[in-house]
Amino acid sequence: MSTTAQPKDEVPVKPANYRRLTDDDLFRHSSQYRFWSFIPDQLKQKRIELNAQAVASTEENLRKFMIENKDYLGDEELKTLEEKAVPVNMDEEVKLVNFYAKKVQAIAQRLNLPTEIIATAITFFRRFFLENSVLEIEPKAVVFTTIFLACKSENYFIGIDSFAAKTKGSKTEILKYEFKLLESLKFCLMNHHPYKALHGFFLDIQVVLHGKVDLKYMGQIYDRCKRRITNALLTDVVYFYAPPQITLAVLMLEDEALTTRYLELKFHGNTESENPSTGVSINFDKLISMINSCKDMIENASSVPVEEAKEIMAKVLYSRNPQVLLNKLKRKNSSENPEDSPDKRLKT
Amino acid sequence: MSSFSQFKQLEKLGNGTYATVYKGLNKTTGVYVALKEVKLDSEEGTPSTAIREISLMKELKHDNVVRLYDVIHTENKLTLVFEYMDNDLKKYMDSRIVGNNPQGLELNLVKYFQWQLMEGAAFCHENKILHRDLKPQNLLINNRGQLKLGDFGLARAFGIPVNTFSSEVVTLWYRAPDVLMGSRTYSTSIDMWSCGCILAEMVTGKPLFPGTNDEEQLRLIFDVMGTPNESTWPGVSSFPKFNPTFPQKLPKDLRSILQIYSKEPLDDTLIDLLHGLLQLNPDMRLSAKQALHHPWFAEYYQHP
Amino acid sequence: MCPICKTDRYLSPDVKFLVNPECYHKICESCVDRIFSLGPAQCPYKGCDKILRKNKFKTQIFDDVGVEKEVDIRKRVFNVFNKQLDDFDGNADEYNKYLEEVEDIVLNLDKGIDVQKTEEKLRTYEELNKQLIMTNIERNKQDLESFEQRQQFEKEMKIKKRTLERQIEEEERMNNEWAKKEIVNRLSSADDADDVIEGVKNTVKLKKSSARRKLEELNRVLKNNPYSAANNSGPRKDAVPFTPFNGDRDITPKYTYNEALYNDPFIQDLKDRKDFIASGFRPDYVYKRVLTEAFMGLGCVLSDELQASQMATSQTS
Repeated sequence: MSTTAQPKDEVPVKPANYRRLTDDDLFRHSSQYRFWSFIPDQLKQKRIELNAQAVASTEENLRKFMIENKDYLGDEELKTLEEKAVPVNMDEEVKLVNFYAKKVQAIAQRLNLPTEIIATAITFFRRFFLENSVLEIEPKAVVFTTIFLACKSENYFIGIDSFAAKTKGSKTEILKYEFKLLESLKFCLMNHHPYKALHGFFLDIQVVLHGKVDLKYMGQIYDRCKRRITNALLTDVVYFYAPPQITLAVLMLEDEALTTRYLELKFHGNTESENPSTGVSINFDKLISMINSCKDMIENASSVPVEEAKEIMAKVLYSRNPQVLLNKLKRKNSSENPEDSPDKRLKT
Repeated sequence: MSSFSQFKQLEKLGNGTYATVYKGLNKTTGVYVALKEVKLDSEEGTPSTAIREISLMKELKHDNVVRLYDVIHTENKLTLVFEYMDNDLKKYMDSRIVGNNPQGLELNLVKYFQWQLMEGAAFCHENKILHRDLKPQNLLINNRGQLKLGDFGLARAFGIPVNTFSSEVVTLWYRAPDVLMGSRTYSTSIDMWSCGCILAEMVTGKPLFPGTNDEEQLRLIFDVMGTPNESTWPGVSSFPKFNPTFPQKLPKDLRSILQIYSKEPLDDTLIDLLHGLLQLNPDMRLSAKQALHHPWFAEYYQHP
Repeated sequence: MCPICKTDRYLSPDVKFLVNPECYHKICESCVDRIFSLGPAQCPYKGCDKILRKNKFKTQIFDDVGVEKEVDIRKRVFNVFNKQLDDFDGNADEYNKYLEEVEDIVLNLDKGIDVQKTEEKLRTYEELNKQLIMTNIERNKQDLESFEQRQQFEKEMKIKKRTLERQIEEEERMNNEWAKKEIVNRLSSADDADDVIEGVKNTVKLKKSSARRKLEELNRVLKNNPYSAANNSGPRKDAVPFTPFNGDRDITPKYTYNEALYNDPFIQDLKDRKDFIASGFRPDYVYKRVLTEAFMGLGCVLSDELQASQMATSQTS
């Protein structure tokens, strides 16, 4: 056969702007990227604005309360109000939300829910308070709601009756904010959690580091990383990094030598912006620095002590319901009986 | 977020799996929409079917998947605002019945519809979503011949198969034999079986396996496709509803069964595609992506 | 007039003349019956010694016997030499050379040059290329069939189209009449004439007839006519692997898939479970999925990308 004539088999001409959709683009199409990813400054600004609005309306209500009740308010009352009925600031809000997010995690774990659903519940809860201030809706009022909705959206069916029974909550309370929650989530309920990426890296490491890593050890790492991921979901890294980046940061925390080795073998030579052999369009140094800063954020996240959370909760309570504060003052003055403390309200 | 007053509710279009659908007019834009009204059950809150549909549709943007524009909440109901489509495939085929005789669609139209169905299914599967209720009623079409997947009320995301899938999915006629026999670990292949049934139905104008209960459904399937056994389908006897006394049937010639209802000659590639989609063993069934590469669709291949 | 029995068209208008490709002498049908019914016989023409068989007689198509003969020879030769450009992998030079050769054979047989040698050549070629010839016959048959189908299809479609067009014309005429009447009716009870006219016109516009819709569909079908597509270009081999993202999904994996090296007790356990086997479970579905997720978004530098998009939106606003 002659090979001279091949006019039909030319290389197809691609349009100038022709570009293949990468796996990264798939993530860019997700609602997680479109609605729930931020630059740190952006997120801070969002929280500041949210808080400022809520503070303004709370202060307005306080002012009204003082005007309406000015005849009954003595110096002591006014002084107490001024001291204790103070709307929380942005930092306090974040702390309180994080404190309750942990509660969401604990309760969901007690209900023996699968890891991904616990993760979704935590995610829903934290996103809800990016749209709503704790001054408007008490965090504990939506703890069960987020868990219940997470079950529904992840096809883990629990009827409201058995859910209410298990959590000893009231049905109406659980459902009260369900729609508000849906709305705040912009009806986007699908999440990309870092667990699947962990599973993927778990497999890929076995190939890339074949013969250099103990399989039993890998199994242990896997389980420990899973727990670390759940903890990472309680921090702001979820807003700043893509799931696989969080996974790698967690792996780095677990075993820095192993992870670095893997990344070096895998992405070494990714000096140009695009590397055809790995297909991942990221510079190796950039990737490492990103993973490290993500790792630092996870590592440095401090949990909020119960005492501090109680103090913040008290502020929220008193600034929203000054009458409660005054009643308490009255009782304290009359009988020195500190029983009806706001501490009780923290128990969920 | 739009408000309900923005829409004018027009005639009722039908009942979805968990809601009533009306035609609506967006008064500000003049665009028709489909309004899917979900009654809010005070007992369980927002129905999980609605939650599922909303959450999946929010992630799926594709030419062959109906678009969810918005969700509106009014006192006791939730309204999902969807892209409006003129018709569904079921009604369209019904409209072509002459007297008592169902009419198949022209083969080139069948091909165009099936191609779009495969594209939509492939996109869902690529996004790790099973539709689980593909049937002509849920395939919406418009006057430009576009076909889109609708009603994701039974759909769900899938990951590692675990024993939690319900086998009460997919309308009986389009339900895969593995699901009929009680499989709870199925995957994308259950949608592909439905696609095969739909393809045959478009060709002939009548449902391929119109059973009235699970047993009859299996019997109708085996009558045509043959009765499976451990050698043709390893593991089949482990299904909860596998019956060793199923009447033993040999596969029949699909072409001769379908040809009598079609005016146009059915070519080999079409029959071959049908065989690929209607494989009893889910492991052998074509995936949506493979189906799109089938020679029957050669004319639609992409040429960059 | 038949040169044998002298029957002529004047007396028997139905008389039919046949020829035999051996000698192309014209004989009437009843003579053929009479002379050749009992078996092969010599041509009754004076001086013609060809032995003719009845089953080889055929109706003459062309007036000119020379043309008739050449066409028959061509048919015979082309049935054997039935290669097409595709058989030469699209090499036009080779194909042309082959066509030349075939033309020579036709010419030789037609003009009686080296008849024996040429016949021998034909036979040898047929012997050697039996398989290919059969395949090509089959292909030509299919081409012809699909051509006929296309013609039939297009004919039907054109008839339908004409009917629809007529229907639309009729509807339009009715609509116009209706609009005229309606405008008059409404004007009697309204003030603003422009509004009324506009309103009626809009209603007419909305009355998109079902015939028109059918016509649109038909036009689309005609455009996507599978017969023409299949005929013009044949199967396209250089098509891009299809993905639901309109053929533009990056399909190079970011990992080297190696199932043998994956130690994953959970999945390996599922793989061996009978109910999973029966349901078509394969570990690679799971492995490939989680591996894809491991690299999905890994290259997204959110801080840079979001900064950029923020700047873009703030600039446009």
